[in-house]
Amino acid sequence: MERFRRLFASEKEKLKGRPWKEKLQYIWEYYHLWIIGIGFAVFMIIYLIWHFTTGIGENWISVAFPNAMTDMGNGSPFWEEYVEASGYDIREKNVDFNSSLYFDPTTLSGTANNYYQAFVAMIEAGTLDAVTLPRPQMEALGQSGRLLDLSSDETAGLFRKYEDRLVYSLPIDEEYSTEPVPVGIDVSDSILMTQYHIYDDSCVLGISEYSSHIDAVKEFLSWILEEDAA
Amino acid sequence: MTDSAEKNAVIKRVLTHVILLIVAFIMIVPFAWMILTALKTNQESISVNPFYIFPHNGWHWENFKTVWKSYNFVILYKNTILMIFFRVVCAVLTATMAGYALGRLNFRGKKLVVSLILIQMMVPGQIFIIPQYLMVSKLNMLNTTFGLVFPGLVTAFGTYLLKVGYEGLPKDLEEAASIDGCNIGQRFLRILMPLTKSSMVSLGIFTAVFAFKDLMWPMIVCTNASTTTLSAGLAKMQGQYGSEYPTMMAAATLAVLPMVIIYVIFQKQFVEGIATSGGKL
Amino acid sequence: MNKKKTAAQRSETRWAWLFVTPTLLGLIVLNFYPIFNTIYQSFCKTGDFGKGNKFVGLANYQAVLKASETWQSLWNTVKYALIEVPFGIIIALLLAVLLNKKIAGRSIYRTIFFLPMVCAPAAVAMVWKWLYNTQFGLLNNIFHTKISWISDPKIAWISIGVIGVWSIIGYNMVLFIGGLQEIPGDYYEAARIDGAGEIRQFFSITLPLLSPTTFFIVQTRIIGALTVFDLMFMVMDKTNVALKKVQSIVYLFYQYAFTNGNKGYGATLVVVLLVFIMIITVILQRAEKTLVYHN
Repeated sequence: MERFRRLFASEKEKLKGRPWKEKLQYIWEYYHLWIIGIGFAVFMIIYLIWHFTTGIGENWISVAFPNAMTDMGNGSPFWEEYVEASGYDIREKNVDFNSSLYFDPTTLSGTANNYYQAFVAMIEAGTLDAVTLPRPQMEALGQSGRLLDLSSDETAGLFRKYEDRLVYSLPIDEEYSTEPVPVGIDVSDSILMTQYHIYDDSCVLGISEYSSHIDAVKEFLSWILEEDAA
Repeated sequence: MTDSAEKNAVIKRVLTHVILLIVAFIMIVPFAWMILTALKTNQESISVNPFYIFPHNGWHWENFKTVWKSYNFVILYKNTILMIFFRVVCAVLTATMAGYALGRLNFRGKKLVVSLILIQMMVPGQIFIIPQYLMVSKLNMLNTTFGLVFPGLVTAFGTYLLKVGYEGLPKDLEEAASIDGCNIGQRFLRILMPLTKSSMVSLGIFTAVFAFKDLMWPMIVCTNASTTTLSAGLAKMQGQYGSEYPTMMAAATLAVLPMVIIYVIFQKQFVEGIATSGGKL
Repeated sequence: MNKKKTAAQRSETRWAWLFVTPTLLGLIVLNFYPIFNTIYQSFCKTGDFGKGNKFVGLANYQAVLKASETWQSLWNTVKYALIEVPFGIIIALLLAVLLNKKIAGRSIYRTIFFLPMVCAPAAVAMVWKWLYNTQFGLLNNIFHTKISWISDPKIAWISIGVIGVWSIIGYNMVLFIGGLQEIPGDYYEAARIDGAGEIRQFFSITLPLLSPTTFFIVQTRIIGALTVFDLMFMVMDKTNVALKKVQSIVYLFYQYAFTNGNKGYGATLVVVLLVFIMIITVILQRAEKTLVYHN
């Protein structure tokens, strides 16, 4: 600190009595790197704080529709319809639908692994709540243990309610269970298929293993199955 | 010069070109394939005949038009260039500073820092993705340029590259400067840094290429079409048009072109920059 | 150590830490936190169907070290490195030396050699599949053979290595050109006056003065080759019979950690690989002092 004070004093001495234009020139000449560096750092800090406080980080619900044949992502007609029907305030939190993933858990090869890794990252970070896939693919995905076991306590309600729709897969991890585990709910008759035709034959919804919005998923489920109308 | 010496020089030159041409041919095949496929019809592109290389039913330039229309390339180019720009600036800046300290200065803990840098390169990149994604999401930085730049703020590879670059400079450079009364920061900025231009340009090229090819990271942090980059945006097309190779390859060609142009400009700089700095040695 | 440091030394240390800190902070947050997390995971059995982590001690290590596929994959990876590292470096060095001379069209050559680096991975994968295809492939059609380039376990590792060499030459070349540019021209001038031929010049000037760059490339390419992953994924299907004899250790890690959802086991494979590469790096660093020319 002492050195800075001395430096500052000596520079001030040098600049005494000169016109301010010359002063600026001198300062720029000798310290432009410092000025640019500090200016950039200050800008970055303001930018980060501004984003951190104003950005929307949390989700009401986040659903992935891998391999969807219709655009189901944010801003799509489906997304808009759901935002309106659910009554979520999207200025407060996001409703995040993702239909730009393409992978087939039954074969997984080639460049599809990038999508799959992205998907796994979203599940493991806990940001993704639910995922839809055609039935054979959901059964393959379920083996990895990345989906919630629907017979667990948190989902007891779902388990009873959709008993006749459950989709099972046999875990790779034999220690967990040697019996098939319920991992998905068949929603082939939902508006996802009848109105939006996202897959050819069948559609199954699974809940991500670390989802923290299970209630929101329940509401989403009953909406796509048009339970209120019935 | 005698006749035979002249003859020798000519043979040497021809031989050089023959070797370079053969290698150039091998290197250019996938690139040429990409462009040629982009001009074929879908039927032609999946033909199993291995000698069916050129489009037979006319050159379908309209594939490019289709792709250009179906995607907002202006936004994709903008996002990609912003990401590349900031990654290159951050990488070159931090790596130059750290490389100088590790290559030229003596301090306790230097060995430890070098080991940490090497260890970072020894683990597969996949293990970084999930924790980094969590960090970006906690910072509310999903779907932003900062989110895209985030993993490239610092570079272990680049730091190591610059460290080697600084070590390679002659030892007496600093002595003269310290007699002139320059402090360490001034020596770095005025004398040593300009001499490592070629390492800095190499690092810039590598950072740009890696950033450009990075597919997974933009795919995870930028799920909105308006914030994503070329590679991730076009990968989506690959998913949608799965088997339509001409469309896919037309898209890939459009994506690569700016990279090639940037490289052509940069590699000129590369040669000229060194021609001037080399004189000082 | 006991001696009191001079003011100059103290100032040197301060500057050094000022310069190193941004990189160090970044590495710790971006990379070392995940690495420690991985090491911790290797002692856990990780979340099944949302059941969370369970500490299992060394069980993963016992399983990994007992499994023959671990050692097979490690051996596969070493074999791959034995092709990629030497050939990738020697060819790139040769090209860089040729391109460092004043010859016609050298910017064009440099640009062409750079192309594989930016070419779309999908196009690269398609071309190699087209070359290697047993029935319709170009190679078999030209040489009238019936070789299963990527599904015969005896050949597949070489075929994969060739792709590796092809895709790495551009990177190595850019680095070599950078290194060559930094060799002062007057050294060659002096050698020419002494009557040294081009080959003599290459061995007595270029090689020693380029040795720091070469060592850097050897070091980073060994690490790069031992962590190879994309190549195998690119051209080999899950059903390929040669896969077991070709898959690298990172590929195996991917299978466990991502496809099967067994993160703990995958993390253990990463730690085993890390230890293996560290041993090789320590040996290399020892060798550096005798192999590399310091001016």
